Amino acid sequence: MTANQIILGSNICTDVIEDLTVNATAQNNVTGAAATLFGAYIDNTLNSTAVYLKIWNHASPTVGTTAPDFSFACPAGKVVQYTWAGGVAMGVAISYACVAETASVATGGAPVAGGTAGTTSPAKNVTIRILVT
Amino acid sequence: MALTTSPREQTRFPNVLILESVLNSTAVSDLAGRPADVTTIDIDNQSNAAAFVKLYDAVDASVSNVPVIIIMVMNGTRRVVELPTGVAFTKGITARCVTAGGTAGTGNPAGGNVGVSIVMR
Repeated sequence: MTANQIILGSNICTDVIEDLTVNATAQNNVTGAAATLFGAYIDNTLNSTAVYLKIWNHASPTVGTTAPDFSFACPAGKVVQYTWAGGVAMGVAISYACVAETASVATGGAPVAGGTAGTTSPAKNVTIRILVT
Repeated sequence: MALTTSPREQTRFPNVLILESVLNSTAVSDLAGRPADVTTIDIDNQSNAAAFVKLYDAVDASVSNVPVIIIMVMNGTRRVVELPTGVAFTKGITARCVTAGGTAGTGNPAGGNVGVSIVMR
């Protein structure tokens, strides 16, 4: 047999950023520099409302005011992952926060926390992992 | 805009592919015509700036509505976002594409089209 080294190139990530208690307080510039984002994993199994993981190409966003570049929904009681090959270049920095949807959505109300707005932390722990290079 | 919806075959292939070849700030409403789970979002941004594709859990949407998924794709690139477990849209799936993130944003992509395909079940 012959072992061949295969160069994976830029299609997959090199690092995983994990946060076991993510909340509405922004974690700023977690890569310390510009980076490339390849995906996100959200475990919202403990909560009875949906949560949104928001990611900014920004070193110090204000949660609820600064428009996020990504917003990833995770329904109540679910685990969701979003992944894409090739990544998306974040030329400034990667910052993130996670906010909870209001309870009114469960009774038919429109989502209110998924875009720019939303400053409420999840009631119980949410785990996220962000794939970066 | 040109919206194409694949036929649905319940037994062998229950998924539906929605193709919008020119997505912009005008909402493409209620793509599935029913609640559905989104499992793939394919975004081809051939415009001259970053594009933000926004999906709403609603049968219609405007700039004042809050999206539940926002994905940024740089100009000149195509990205295929996979959601293996799917994300449930309990009311309907409506899509817009603008040049700004967050809730706001009414600018249309310029200098080329943003095409979006969505697989749902």
